[in-house]
This record gives sequence, structure tokens and C-alpha cells, in this order.
Amino acid sequence: MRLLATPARPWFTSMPLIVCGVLVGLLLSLRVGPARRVVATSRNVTSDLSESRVLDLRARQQTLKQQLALLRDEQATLQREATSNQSNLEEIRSSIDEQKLIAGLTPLRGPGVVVTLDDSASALTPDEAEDPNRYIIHQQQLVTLVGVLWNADAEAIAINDQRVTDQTSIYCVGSTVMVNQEFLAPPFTIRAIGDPQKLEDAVSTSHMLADLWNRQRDYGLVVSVKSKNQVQVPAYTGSISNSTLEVPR
Amino acid sequence: MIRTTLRQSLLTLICLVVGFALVTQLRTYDSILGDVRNLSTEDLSIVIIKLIDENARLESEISQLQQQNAVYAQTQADGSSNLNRLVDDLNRLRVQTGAAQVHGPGVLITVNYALRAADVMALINEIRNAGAEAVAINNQRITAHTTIEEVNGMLLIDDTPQAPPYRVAALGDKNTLMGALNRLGGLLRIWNEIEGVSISIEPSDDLTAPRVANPPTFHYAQPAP
Repeated sequence: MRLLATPARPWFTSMPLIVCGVLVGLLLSLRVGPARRVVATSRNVTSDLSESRVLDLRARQQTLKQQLALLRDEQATLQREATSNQSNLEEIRSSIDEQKLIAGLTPLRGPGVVVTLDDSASALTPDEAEDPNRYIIHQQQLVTLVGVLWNADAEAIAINDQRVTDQTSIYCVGSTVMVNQEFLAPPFTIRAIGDPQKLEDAVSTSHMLADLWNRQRDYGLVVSVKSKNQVQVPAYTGSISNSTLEVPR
Repeated sequence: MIRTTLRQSLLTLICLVVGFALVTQLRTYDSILGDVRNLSTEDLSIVIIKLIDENARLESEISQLQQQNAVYAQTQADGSSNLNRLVDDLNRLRVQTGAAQVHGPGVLITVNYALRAADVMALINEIRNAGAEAVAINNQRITAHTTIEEVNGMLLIDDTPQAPPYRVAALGDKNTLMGALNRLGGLLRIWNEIEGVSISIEPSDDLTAPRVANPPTFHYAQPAP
């Protein structure tokens, strides 16, 4: 009795904590590891076409994106400070905020749909007579799906954790897809904010997506669309380049 | 007792979350590694160029923002107005969103063939992929929010009917755009092989993309914390 009531804990009760600690450590090491390596910034592509170069460049991109996100936040704060208590500047600041909203630089939430696409579970062992391409999700299906969602008045769209903006292209490489120059692996989760019923109907019935639904039926491709009361899309974290553009004065 | 239960469930939850994150990350990492390993030399060089270019753009934007933020802070400290800085920031964004007409170098693509809506979406994706900074089709600005539909066999871009020839202005670095859009296996090369389709791609120093006719409005989306 007395033993049970004592607050002293036997050593093994802290085991979950230790396991957690180790797991977290492992996770962190995976994240941080590649970023510490030295990255060559030369565009001399032919000199090194190794996998590790791709992974180094990708890790470097993630570090730069974090840095950029901090600077964008800092600028937003400075803009607020510069315009507070100055009614003549308040209008410019609200225009800036509106433009950021349109440019995809603000994380947004609201009602909408979640569309899930994944390669067929039988993708690895297709019938020999069949074209294996029918079992996997391709660039064009993602492009068309995103287009159908915009056509149904989507206000914001993200593919996995990548916001779809004016800068965004969808590029298929091997069996992964690059969106905003970041690799995405299936399953693809497409979140769109807007009228949930309108978006869901568009995805379910658009003739432009008929092939996708047919392949779900015939080849086991994973396709689903669900309307939601609340979906969230992240801010765009990539670069905004308009180095060559001029605004006529 | 309640505290212990709470503590245990919290720990269980943490472990579940960590486990899930770990597995997801490993799956993604493995999958990417596997895919990168399977790439052809040509695809690998395209990927490497894309990554190098994006990193260069990120670096240049970082140094721009550092300078701009320093100006904000200094001007604020001096007690003078940041009006000019704010107007510059606003204009930079308006170029981005299509709220302002833009002008610059790029390539002019002419397609003399009736395109379906999905073709136009593919073409725009290909052009953005090639590094375009602004796009217009038959003098209509194309942004992320642009609608591209087919109604009774008629192509509608933002509800405006469009017919061939389509003159597509892709603004940006013209050499990069020419190279990327002309590449073997690229969409335009493939289309050009189709009988009855004629496509021309010409570099230009004098292209214009007008501002969007109807800027997007937000009725459902709210800023997320």
C-alpha cells in the first residue's frame, strides 16, 4: 500500500519520454543534417549530376525559404509600424495587404474541399498487357484539377504544403512532382477554399476530369473529394521574381 | 490520479504525433531519394537547374528584403515618412498579381490551332515552368485565378471568348524562355508534330501584359493565424 502511494516513480515510467526524446532527436537530425553540408552555387550543371547534389540543393532551398519567411514577416511588421497613426498611409498599407492576399503570401482558411489523389495500389504490379502509366497520377491531371478548381471560383489552392500562385508550375519528374521547385510525393492532397458544394460538384462532374474518375474505376487510382467546413492553406514560401518586368509610368 | 492519466495521455499523444511525423517524413524522403535515383541524366540536369535557379532567386530576394527592411527601420528611426518605400512595395506586388500592366522582354508564341481548355492550362503550366514572370493570351492577362473553360465548344478565358490564332506573350528572360520552350520532348515540340498544328516561338524585347480585368475577391477565405 505504502509503496503504491509513494510519489517516487520506478525508472521505467520515464521510458516513453526517453523514446520520445530519441525519436525527436532522430527527426531533427534528418531535418538539419543535409542543410549543414556545403552547397555549390555554381550553375555548372554537368560537373556534378549526383543524387546528393539534388538533396543538398533541396536542403539549401529549405533553409533559404525559412530565412525569406522571417524577412517577409519582418517587413510586414515594419510596414505596420510605418503606417500606424498615419491615416494618409493607412490606405497604402491596406492595399499592400490586399495584394499580398491575392499573391498567396497570406495563409488562409475557410470552407472548401479536400481532394486526395494517389497512385493505384496495384501500380507496382500492373498486368503486363497494360500501360503502367494508367496506374499513376500525372502532371496533367494535377494541372487540370487545379484549373477546374479555379474555374469553380476557388479563392486559394494548395497541393500538399505548397500554395498555388502565379509563380507556380507543376512539373513531373520521374514519379514525383515538383511544385514551387519543391518535390512532392504522392499521395497528393489538394485543398481549395471557396463554396464547398460548387467545388465538390466541379471536381465530381467536370468532363475535364472524366479520365481521372474512369481510371479510379478501372485501374484503382485513388481519387476522392470531400467538402469541409474548414480547410487551411499555407502561405507561398518561394521566390517572387519580376526582375525583367517594368510597370509603364 | 487524474494528473497521472493526463500526463500519460499527453505522452501517448506526443509519441503518436512524433511517430506519425517520422514515418511521413521518412516516406517522403525515401520516395524522393528513390525518384531522384531513377531520373535520367537529362531529367536530373533539368531538376538541378531548377533548384539552382530557385536558390539564386531566393538569395537575391533575401538580400533585397534585407536592404528594404533596413531602409524602413532607418527612416522610421529618423522620424521621416516611409511613403516612397511603401509605394515601391505596393507596385512590386501589383506586378505580381496582375493588378498592374507590365512591359518587358520575353517570347511570343503563336498557336494556329483551336485549343481545348485543358490544352490552354497545360500551355500556361509549361510557360510558367519555363520561368515566365507574366503571361497574356490574346492580350488578356493570365494569373493563377484566371478561369479557362469550354462552353458549347467555345474557349472562354475569364468569360471572354477566344479563338485561334492564340498569341501568347510570355514575359521574362527571353533566352531562358526560348531554351526551355523549345526543348526536345517539350509540350510545344510535341504539339508541333501534330498534323495541322503550326506553332511559332519568337523572342521579343517589347511585350506587354495588360492588367487583369477583374481582380479576385474573397468571400470564403479568412486570414489564418
